[in-house]
Amino acid sequence: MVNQPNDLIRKLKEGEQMGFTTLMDLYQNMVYNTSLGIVQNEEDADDITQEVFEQVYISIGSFKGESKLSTWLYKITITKSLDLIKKKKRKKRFGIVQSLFGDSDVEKYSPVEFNHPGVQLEQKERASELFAALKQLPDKQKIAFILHKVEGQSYQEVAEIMNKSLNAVEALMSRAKANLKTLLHNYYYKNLSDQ
Amino acid sequence: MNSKKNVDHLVEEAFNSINNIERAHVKPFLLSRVNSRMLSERKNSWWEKIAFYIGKPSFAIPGLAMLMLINLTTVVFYATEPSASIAEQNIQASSDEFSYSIANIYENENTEP
Repeated sequence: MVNQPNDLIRKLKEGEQMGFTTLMDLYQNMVYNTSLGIVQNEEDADDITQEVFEQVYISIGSFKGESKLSTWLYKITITKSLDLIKKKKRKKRFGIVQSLFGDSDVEKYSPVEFNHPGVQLEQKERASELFAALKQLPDKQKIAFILHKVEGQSYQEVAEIMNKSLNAVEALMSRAKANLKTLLHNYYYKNLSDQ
Repeated sequence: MNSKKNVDHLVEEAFNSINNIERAHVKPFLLSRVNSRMLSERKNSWWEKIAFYIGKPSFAIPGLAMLMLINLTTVVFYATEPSASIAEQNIQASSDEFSYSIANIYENENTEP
């Protein structure tokens, strides 16, 4: 059994299957949850999780051990998740252009309500509204918020993952909260006035 | 005033809704899925990708049509050539090769003294 991260890294670099199995046992839920928070789709998060471990397998040789293995995994997960969102946005734009020429594929890319499987049943509705608002935040604010509030990472850890100073992360979090409040206020006011 | 209180309360509830969020679990057999994914990507070599594109109907059908058109053009082009000249050429070629000539008594030189 591999317990020490250094031992695990050595085994991964040597291409041992056992090391890879241990890595996945230790980090699969962490990768999946981070990705799930960002992309807000279980299928996409599952795909990204697979891609992340594939990437780790390919580029473990370039991992110098300057940061924690988990930090490196977080970075890969965030990059891949944001890439997927960009790709989907491109597809959506293309779908809109196509719809102008009569081929209406826009429906396929329209956003759907996201229910995080880890949220308690009585909180599902509010959490879904919060995640919908989260989707509208700028990338950096969104990542900082997810890492801190959903993944439970400290500001220091978030700073390491995002390659930012502690002050920058604090500022990002404060802007994220303020923006979320504004978005939710607008949403609830609109809903109340519609009723 | 009342609605502002309501909205503030809802916002507060939304923020608190993820306070005790639990970790979602990835679908089972992730290792097998990652392994098979890597294997299938390794299988798809450069040549296999080319074969895949060539095999696509959008490529294969126009490709076949193009080949048939070239063949048809060639057949039509050679069919319009005068057939007699080809036959003459063939006869000439074979006669040159086998030196067909009609022996004539007058062509024989008298080599005897």
